[in-house]
Amino acid sequence: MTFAANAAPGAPVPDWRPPPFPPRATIDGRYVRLEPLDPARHADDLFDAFAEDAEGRNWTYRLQEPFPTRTALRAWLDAISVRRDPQYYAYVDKQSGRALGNGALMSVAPQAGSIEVGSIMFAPRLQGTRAATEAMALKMARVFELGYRRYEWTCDPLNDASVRAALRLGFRHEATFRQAYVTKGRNRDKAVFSILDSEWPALRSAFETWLAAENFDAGGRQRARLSALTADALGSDGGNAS
Amino acid sequence: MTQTNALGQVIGDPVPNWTPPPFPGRSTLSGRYCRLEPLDPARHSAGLFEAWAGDAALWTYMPVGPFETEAQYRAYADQMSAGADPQFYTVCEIDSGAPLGQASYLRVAPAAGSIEVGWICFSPRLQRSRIATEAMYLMMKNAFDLGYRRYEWKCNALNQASRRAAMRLGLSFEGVFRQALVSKGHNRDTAWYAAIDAEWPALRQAFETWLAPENFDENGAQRRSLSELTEPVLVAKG
Repeated sequence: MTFAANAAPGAPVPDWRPPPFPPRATIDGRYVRLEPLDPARHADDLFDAFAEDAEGRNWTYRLQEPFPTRTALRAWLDAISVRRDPQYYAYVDKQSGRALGNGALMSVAPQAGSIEVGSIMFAPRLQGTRAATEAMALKMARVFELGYRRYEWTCDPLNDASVRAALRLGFRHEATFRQAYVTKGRNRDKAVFSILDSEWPALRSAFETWLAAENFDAGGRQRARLSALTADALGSDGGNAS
Repeated sequence: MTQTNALGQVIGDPVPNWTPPPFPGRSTLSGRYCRLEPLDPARHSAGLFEAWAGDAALWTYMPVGPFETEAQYRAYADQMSAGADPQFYTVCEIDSGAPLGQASYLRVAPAAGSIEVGWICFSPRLQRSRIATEAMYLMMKNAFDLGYRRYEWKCNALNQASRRAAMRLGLSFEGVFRQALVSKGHNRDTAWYAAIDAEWPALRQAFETWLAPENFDENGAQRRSLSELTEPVLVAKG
């Protein structure tokens, strides 16, 4: 393909219009409800749920240390919930009605059509559940339905659980930035993953298949694994070298 | 390099006594062949516009330009030199003082110890010259001397000249962001490169060897290429 002088190379993006900033609105699913973070409603639930991680294992790769008191957690939630970007949600388990985790849409760049999911904190009792996976699927659906073209996931490449979660959800590893930050007095590299709008329809089917009641046996055990479904959705190459 | 914490989790190495470096000062960086002057639109606009004139292809991969009139460029330069980040420099030939191109620091993140070089637009006269290479050397040197740990370069993934330039300067390939943005109505993937502080002593040596007058014969042809000198430092190419 050749271009006239000054024509930008790359495939045309016809009728490109930047998508809206994500609305601060509840996203309702089968197992989980994503509610815009409201510390008055969610802080106590989150403190109790996070407290089950007595060792603070879930905070190792976070910028924050574990919050020792309700007051300290509340102060942090108050600070982050008023920001426009990152836009935080509480993950409310529909069975118990309790908030068991939180996370954000961030680095919102409508002009670029790019947005990131991050700052995800699943309490131990949310980890590995259908609700946790559905929370991720709901957020992904929201982003692509709004018209974003790129959905990003970044993490410390040493955070093996986060790397595996990204790949299981259908993100492809794209880059690792060396010495991206210094956090807690330590070097931190940054691994970057993404999903594109063109990959979303097939991934949506994978999530629907996995989340369907019939994908679980009487004991609640999955029949098909999500990692297998998303790998199929992305095609045989998988695209993941990591 | 990594360690394991008391919970058996792998964590990054300590960065002892880490203090975020200062934001780069708005001061002139001087070398043997060129001087990088903080962009001063009143002094540099006319010269830059003239140096770039007639070469629209310079701007193909840039989000802006080409500029049709000096006034248009001047308005843009006024805007770009108003804030702290990006921080533009004009590349001036050391003898004549003539402005021949521009480059900038951007995404300056002292707390992260990370800084990017970009908005590079070298006039045809500057391209493939010792001046151009020295300009890149001076900016990289200044960043690492200030205490930055990471020096970044990104470009349109289709811009092969920029990708080759990054690696020639000793910046290792780190990956490509797919659909990073929409530029001028077209998709743009972004390729990323970086050098880290531990690589800087070897890179500095490579630049000093290449830039030395004795690396050029009587016709000005290089004896050793910079790529040959920086190649051993690269941890990945792409």
